[in-house]
Amino acid sequence: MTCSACLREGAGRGDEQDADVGTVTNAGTSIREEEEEEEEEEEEEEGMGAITDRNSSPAITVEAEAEEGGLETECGQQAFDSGSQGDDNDKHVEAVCKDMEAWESSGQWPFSCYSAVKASISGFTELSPEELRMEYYSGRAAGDLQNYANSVQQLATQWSSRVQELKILTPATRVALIAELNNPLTVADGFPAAASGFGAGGFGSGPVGAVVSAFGSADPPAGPTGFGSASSAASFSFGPGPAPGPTPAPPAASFSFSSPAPSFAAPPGPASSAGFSFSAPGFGAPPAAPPASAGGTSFGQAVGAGPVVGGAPDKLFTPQSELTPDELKEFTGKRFTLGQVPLRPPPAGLLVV
Amino acid sequence: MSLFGTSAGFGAGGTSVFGSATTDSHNPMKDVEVTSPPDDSISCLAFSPPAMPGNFLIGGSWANDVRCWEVQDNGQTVPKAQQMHTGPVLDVCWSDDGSKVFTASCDKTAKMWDLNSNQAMQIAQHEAPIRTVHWIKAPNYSCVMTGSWDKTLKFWDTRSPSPMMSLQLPERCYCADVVYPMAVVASAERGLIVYQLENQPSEFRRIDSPLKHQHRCVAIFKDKQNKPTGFALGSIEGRVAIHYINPPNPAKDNFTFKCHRSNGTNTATPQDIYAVNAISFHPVHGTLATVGSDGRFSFWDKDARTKLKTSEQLDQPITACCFNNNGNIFAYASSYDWSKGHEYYNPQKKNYIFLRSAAEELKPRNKK
Repeated sequence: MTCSACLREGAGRGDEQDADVGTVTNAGTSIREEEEEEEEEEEEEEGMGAITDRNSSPAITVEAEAEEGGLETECGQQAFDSGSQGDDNDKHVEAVCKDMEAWESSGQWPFSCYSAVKASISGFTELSPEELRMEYYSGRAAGDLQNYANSVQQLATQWSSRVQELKILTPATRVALIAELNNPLTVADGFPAAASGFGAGGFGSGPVGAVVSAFGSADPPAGPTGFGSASSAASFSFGPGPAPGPTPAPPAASFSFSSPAPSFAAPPGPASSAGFSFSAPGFGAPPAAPPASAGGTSFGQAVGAGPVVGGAPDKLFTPQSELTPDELKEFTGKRFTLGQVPLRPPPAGLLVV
Repeated sequence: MSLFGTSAGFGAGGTSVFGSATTDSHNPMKDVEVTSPPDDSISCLAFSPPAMPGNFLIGGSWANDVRCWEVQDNGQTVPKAQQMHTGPVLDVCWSDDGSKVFTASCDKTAKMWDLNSNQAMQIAQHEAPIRTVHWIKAPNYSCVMTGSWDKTLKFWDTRSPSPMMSLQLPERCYCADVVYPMAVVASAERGLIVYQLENQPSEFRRIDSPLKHQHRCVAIFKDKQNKPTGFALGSIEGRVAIHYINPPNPAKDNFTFKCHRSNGTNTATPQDIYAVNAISFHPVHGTLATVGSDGRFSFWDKDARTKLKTSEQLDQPITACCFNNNGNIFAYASSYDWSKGHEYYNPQKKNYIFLRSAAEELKPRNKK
């Protein structure tokens, strides 16, 4: 099945040689001047000459592009509002419109999210080429590629409609778009796990310092990290940093072509939302005895006999009288025997720090 | 004397013994072809670390295999060993001492491959394909970090079936990089998180993505003191963002640039825009290479903000690239990346890995 919306004739378009091969673009000394004009993306050439100020709105360049007149556009006729907020809205809407035109004609991957002015725009399915390819390979192995082909066609159609919608706006879709542009979702809206996992120092319950961690000394570092810096005086902070980035709008989620309602179905919650627990089904509490195995000290300092995080075992210690002879042998030995590490915690009396 | 160390480098200028004499669109740069390439698209490449004498190249592919070649000084490549997963391999990496190779697969597992014994064992398990695998070597711990489409980032002691730590990601992991003590993970829906790895991994900062479209590849770069200080992030929209973690002047120091696009100066027709499939930094010069769906590689100097070189166009996308540990060799893989969907997939088409002398072409441009 040919999906004409998302596929283009092959790689032969690259006929025109890039004029910049091997040469210095005008990026060298003209960078500073370009910055002062606050232009971005106004060059269509490849090269680093186009510098984008992260903090500026992409709408700034819209006027420059419109003057070049390269692309036929209906985007310039979208002005409806009046007033300064209206002007901003117009610019943003026009920028979105231009982006849609470019996306349609460029042959670029269609199953991608899209954002403008730092706001994620809804209605786009995010799927990487690898995920799509894996669906194909799975279908091929199962002897059924029809499902894959149908799903791709459906996705492509959805993409194409959404692009059209944003390119040729009705008053209603225009209002909806402006609402999205002006109200980017924050992490708090769509990602509760961030609050619980991150705000608590990221290590589950209990004071951070007492966490029994497989990583050795668990004192939270207070000073600057080992990251290099561009000789900045800014200090690092290990609390929750600056406002986290925008959350995904509709979670595209785990994509499966075999489920009847793909795309926006919520994924089964991965077990790892309890991910900060260090207890593991197979191993009970983290060993309070000397680090397991003769394989060397990956874990640095032996973990202290402090409170155990995670709490899967019913009690912290197993009374010595309850141990099997094998368990006792392991706990009293100098080190654990690989494959025979006891699943229950040791008696308090056998702890060696 | 190693040919890779001289300026008459292997494969440069068409003097290669192994390249074809006539212009050939599968190898227009006339670079060295690695023998016995995989039978399906190559997803990842990794050269051995400095701790190992010589150069060994690992490549993972969609044929479920991971192959190891020795790259000899005269440019000859010798297939050494191979391991299999039960699903396509998406990422590979080496341990710091060069004794182990870690492989991540769509079969939801990661394996540790001991090259000396040629045995591989499973060391990680996820609930969805594992997209990234990285070895972390810290003063007080060592572990393997895996990023998955199950939206978690897990850390594994290779001796335990359970992860040492599991961190939630906002979305599916699409790419990651580690340069101790920093790690960067980019996810679907433009998620971007920096982690610090000292003592134990923890989230350091979530970053507003500087890019508008799907994240595809990321690579950390270092400052003059050899400490990680930022990263380059590529997207499916022919664009790379250079982002410093703590620059003096973010508005000035951070920037994006367009790349892997066609007919650049002709404004009468729309541009073709290709995905950036991989980014690698030269270990000595600090300059970077990008490879794209357009079948080209480009070298860039991010400090001088100039392009150093763009290759001729290969007849297939370039899906992966890496430098060897001393920066003399640039390896890149030519195979289909699914950028145009299944209609353009030809299982019969041969896949290639090329080696190019990298010492000269990646030298930084002198700033005026």
